[in-house]
Amino acid sequence: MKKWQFPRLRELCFETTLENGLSICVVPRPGYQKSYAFFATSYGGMNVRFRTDAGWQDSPAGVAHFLEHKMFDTKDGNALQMLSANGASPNAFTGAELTGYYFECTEKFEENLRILLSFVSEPYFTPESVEKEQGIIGQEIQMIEDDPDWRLYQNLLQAMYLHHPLRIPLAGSKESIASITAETLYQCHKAFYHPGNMVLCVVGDVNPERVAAIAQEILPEGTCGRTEKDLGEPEPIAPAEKKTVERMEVSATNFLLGFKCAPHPDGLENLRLQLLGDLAGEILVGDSSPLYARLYGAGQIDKSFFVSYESYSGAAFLVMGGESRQVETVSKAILEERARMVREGVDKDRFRRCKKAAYGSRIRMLNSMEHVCVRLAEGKLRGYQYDRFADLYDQITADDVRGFLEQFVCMESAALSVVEPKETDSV
Amino acid sequence: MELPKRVKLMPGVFLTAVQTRKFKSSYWSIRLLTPLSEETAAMNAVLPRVLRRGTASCPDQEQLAAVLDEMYGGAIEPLVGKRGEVHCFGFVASFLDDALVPDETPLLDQAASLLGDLLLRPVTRNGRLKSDYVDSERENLLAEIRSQINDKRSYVQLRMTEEMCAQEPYRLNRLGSLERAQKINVSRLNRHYQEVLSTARIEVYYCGSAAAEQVEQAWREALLGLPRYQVQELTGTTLCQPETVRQVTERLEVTQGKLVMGFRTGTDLTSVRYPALMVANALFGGTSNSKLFLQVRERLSLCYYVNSSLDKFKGLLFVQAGAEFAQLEQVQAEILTQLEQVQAGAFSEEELQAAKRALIRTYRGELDVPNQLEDFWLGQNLAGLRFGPDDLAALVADVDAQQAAEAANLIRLDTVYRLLGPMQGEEETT
Repeated sequence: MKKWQFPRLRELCFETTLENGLSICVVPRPGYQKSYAFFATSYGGMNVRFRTDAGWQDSPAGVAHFLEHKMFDTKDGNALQMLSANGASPNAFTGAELTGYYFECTEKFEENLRILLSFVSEPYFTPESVEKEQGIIGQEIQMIEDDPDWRLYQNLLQAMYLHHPLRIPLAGSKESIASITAETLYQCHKAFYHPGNMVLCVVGDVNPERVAAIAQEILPEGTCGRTEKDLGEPEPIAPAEKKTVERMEVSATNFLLGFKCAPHPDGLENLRLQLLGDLAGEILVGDSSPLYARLYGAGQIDKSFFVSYESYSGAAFLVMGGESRQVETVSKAILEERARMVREGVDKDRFRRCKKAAYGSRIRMLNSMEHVCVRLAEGKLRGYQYDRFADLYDQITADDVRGFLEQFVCMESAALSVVEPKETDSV
Repeated sequence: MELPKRVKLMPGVFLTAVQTRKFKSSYWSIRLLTPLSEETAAMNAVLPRVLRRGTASCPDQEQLAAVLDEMYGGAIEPLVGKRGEVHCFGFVASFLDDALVPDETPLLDQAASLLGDLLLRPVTRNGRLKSDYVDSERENLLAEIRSQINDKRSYVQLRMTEEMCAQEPYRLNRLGSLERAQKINVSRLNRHYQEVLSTARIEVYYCGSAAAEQVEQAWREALLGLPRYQVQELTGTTLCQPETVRQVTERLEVTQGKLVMGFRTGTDLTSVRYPALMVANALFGGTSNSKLFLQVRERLSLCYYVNSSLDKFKGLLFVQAGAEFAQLEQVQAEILTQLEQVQAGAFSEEELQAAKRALIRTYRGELDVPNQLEDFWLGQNLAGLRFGPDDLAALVADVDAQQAAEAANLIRLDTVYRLLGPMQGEEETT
């Protein structure tokens, strides 16, 4: 395996790609009690249309998430129970374009790793178990639909995008999952769960060569590369809708303001743009900005206010929001502050401090094994090494931030999502 | 592991320092501890937020944020929580560990001094806390208390606690009540601040690469000028047994029903039976190999989630479940059936081993996660216990089937809380 050193992070990373196409990253953490293994496929809620040998395929919304639930079933029982019988803590999640299966444990690491690799690569579905799961996931969908934060976010995505499949609710709907059969699951598993479309990341006091040897032994042969996915027609800079409002049983008004940005290319530039988008958000309205202080001081935003930059294949956006009694005033203030920064440039001293803060915060995040694994896996799939962020920060300038704000954060690219209390007169 | 250094810095002020190079960050906390009470809960909750707004040398958010940014993006958060019937409020902080700071200016002294300033040297006007900070943080606190209804899963737990412990301080919301929070003003809060500063027990904590002696020195300097006058004793948390089972049903506009069952065990973390009780809880509903998960969720498909958890300070056990409204009755009956199974010792050696392994992994794993380790030591310090997470893991490993079943028999039902949808919807479906 190739050993990479990142002395500024006091971090090592061993990497290799097996003949069957599987990418592997191992980060040794001597002295740790826990080991963490993360096995992920480049497939998530937004990948409903994709190409196989038989041409372009359409699948119902929610298959990636449904598969995540059903993968734990094995011929002999259930992998969740096999892992937890060993004291491991297994789980899985489905993202917009990544589904990850993982466990953490303090004993029997190699045995647990074998179980993880086996159950994720060997599908076993029956019509009965699929039908039963429709009930369970139906309830899960019902539960998230009650969640105001989820609605706020989902409404924003639908307001922002005309074509991009981020519009599609990750878990699908009660109706869409009703059409999923065991056959659908087998087809999607075949399309996305082959080693060439997957990544294995491990963090802990482990031997990297053993990890690669076990993966080699358990996973199937194969030469397929990454599966091709349809991301919809190119998006205009303007959102589908400028504003969406929903009333729910909540105590106060919540909002999200999103700005559509250009999608990132693959490679190290992808990571550089993430750092830049993130930094631009912090400088504009992060909690150390003069604007944040002013809005917070005036009681127009509270502790729940946040800003973050998100990027996916074919889509990227800056999003900010929280609880507020004056959504329009806050939105207007943000656009005014952006105009000022574009006009006057970004304060050099603040830029330097914000960059220093972003640098330190990203290093602190590496304490979390889950965070490390997810970042490494995303990087592998988008063609960069995550740990190179420390060096990339050196290249980003105040002018880059100004340029980013000028190009993407503007009236034309903005969409607003609001969730209001039902009885507005009582607030 | 080596035990952390524990040092008395002043009357009623204790430092716990863990030295390790494992982490990328140093982890800090300073917590004031007082008995949980109706009169003070809201003021305790608002105080760290007001103090976090500015110090004498960094009088506003922007200047404080600039200092933190300059310290490689340090984070200091106000916090308030309860541990049994003890109210804990103050700050937690995390900084890039000095071993990773590029320009070799250690952050240790600066971090301690900033935390000390936040607690002891706030920005003032006419010798009092600033009224605009007090007013805006009172409003933020009120909004947060009101918003507790938004997350239904935690909301039903709050309501359960209020109902089940109606006569005990444990019922109190960690944020205080709306009524009390509304009454907060600068003169009340200022008086309260002076009082807790001189009388509350204080726990400070550090975990990072610095040696305990250096940390002690840094904290001593940071806390210079802390008044200490008649430190209030923590009376501890009372444990009691249920008399009759109470039933509470409420309605809100939700599409999924929720069930919370509250049990009393009379057993807290200081009891010799506590490790066995944890094993009993893990067998019953604490893990994904537990009876609640495997029988009620997986085999019977009765609910989307069902699990049990222990409050180690108050000796309570809660079962939480989410299901269709029409199935809540059946879910409740099944939960009790599963508890009887554990009490009767009707579990296999495999179930017992899985339960113990999960607990051992949890405790040993806490050694790898800075905030979990801090929380563990806070609990130990409150309970006067001196053993580490790995020692607790060893105690769990020694629990046998009989001890686990005996401990399960300590679990007695006290209160059942149900959350249903609006009245009409219910009538249409039944």
